[in-house]
Amino acid sequence: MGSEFAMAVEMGLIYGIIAIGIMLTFRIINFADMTCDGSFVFGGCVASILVKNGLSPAIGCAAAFIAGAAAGWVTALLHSRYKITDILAGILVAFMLYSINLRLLGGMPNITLEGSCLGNFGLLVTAMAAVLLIGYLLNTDFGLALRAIGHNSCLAKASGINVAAMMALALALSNGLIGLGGAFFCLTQSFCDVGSGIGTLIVAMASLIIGERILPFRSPTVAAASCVVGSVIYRILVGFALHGNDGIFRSSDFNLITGVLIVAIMAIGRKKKCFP
Amino acid sequence: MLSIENITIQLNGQRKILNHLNLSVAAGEFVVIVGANGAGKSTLFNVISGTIKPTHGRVLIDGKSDNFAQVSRVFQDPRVGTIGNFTIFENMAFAFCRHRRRHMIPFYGPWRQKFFKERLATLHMHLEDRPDDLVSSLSGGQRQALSLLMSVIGNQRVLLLDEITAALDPKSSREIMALANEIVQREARTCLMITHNIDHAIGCGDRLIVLGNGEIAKEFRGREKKYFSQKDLIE
Ligand SMILES: Nc1ncnc2c1ncn2[C@@H]1O[C@H](COP(=O)(O)OP(=O)(O)OP(=O)(O)O)[C@@H](O)[C@H]1O
Ligand SMILES: [Mg+2]
Repeated sequence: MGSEFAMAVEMGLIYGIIAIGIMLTFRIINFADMTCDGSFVFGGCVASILVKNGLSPAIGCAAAFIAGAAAGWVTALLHSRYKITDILAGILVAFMLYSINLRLLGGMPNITLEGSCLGNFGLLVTAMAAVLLIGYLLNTDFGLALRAIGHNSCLAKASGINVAAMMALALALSNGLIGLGGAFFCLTQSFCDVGSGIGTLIVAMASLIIGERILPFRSPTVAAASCVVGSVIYRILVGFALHGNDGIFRSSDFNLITGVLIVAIMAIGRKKKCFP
Repeated sequence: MLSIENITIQLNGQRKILNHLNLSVAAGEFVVIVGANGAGKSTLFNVISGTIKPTHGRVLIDGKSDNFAQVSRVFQDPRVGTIGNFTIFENMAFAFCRHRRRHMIPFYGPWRQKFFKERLATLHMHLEDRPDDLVSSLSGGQRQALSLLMSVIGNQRVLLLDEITAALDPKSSREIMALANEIVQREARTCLMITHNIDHAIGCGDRLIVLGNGEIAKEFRGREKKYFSQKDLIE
């Protein structure tokens, strides 16, 4: 049980970082970004390949961040330059990334790394750094502008904000964090699979929503922290559902449990409708 | 100060919304614009603030074209002029940085808190006592007043007011107009105001312009304004 708990916390931290990325797009700039499932694996593949070729995990993670950011930037470009809707732009990029990821892994569906390359301490520090950094950023004049573009782009434009550039920046930052999460995922598991991205968005969303219900405060730092807290709690809940009882659920029931959990939380804590 | 030269707007090759419009406004002048619904008044403001590019012509502010950083605007709809899910304080901070570089420093410094409270107090709506309330929880009139305040918190020289009292009750409407008048006069801003209120049209400003069919149909300066009547609008 102890190792399962440690495992849940580890996964919680990794997906907490991803949930912060999701918060940036879905909550802060109001952009339904579906790039996530692709940029997660993209980051993982980039880091895995670099580490397998003898580079240090830190460099692998930095490269994964940049790779994810590039993916997010492309999504933003598709949306603002070619007027493709936010959802479709993200799905397109994730779809195309699948081929790129396969090429990165040399045509194989998965690769194995030798030994675990990343400690839990590094994970904890990174998650905390992400929380503090995003929290600080959103509390600045610059962050205020970032928050404005999603909620009143008309006023943002009239206030001299370059909406397209801001959106690109937010999407790059978001997907950079998601790519970083993917790198952590692969390096801690010592395994990288092109299919591992499916459902990343839903899992991160679950973490985000749980966090919001537990810590319903407007402060950006608290909001970012709540993503990580929510993610850890989510992992513990799911771990308990899967392993805590004797054989009612199988590990293949993960998706079903997650879905039911999200619906339940949304149904319980739904906000009262506000009149315009 | 503000000079609008030969502006034509024709969207997607359809009929012309503005037709070779010329208008020049001196520094510190207060011009009131009236005209039927769909006459192109808001469109003219969109051109001046750079939201839409004219098909022909140009807008010069202080002799420079594309000088949109000198323009601030109160929108017809208070939901556009403010951000609903920001707090009052966040809205003020957001407006404070209009057309400036937005730095990586916290937006809630003590100097700003004090300054914003002082400014909010000038509205006499007790908004200064609830800086952390969401703006979506304000009434339409309160939001419009806040929007006006936000538009004059920077030092833009050109102020555009688009039917700012449309959503207000008579008392608030009078107060907001008085506030607008006071701000324009005290700070010598160049101001253009759109209104459908005949009393405001006659009572405010140095010049009155009637817009019709995308052109300036009539113009009244100073004293002549008292000859303006409802008939001029209907024709
Ligand atoms: N984005 C647009 N695309 C097409 N037509 C437009 C657009 N914006 C405005 N128009 C047209 O331009 C004309 C003028 O619109 P505008 O909003 O300037 O009117 P207005 O004078 O402000 O009217 P009101 O008093 O009702 O506010 C209208 O006929 C409108 O349909
Ligand atoms: Mg209008």
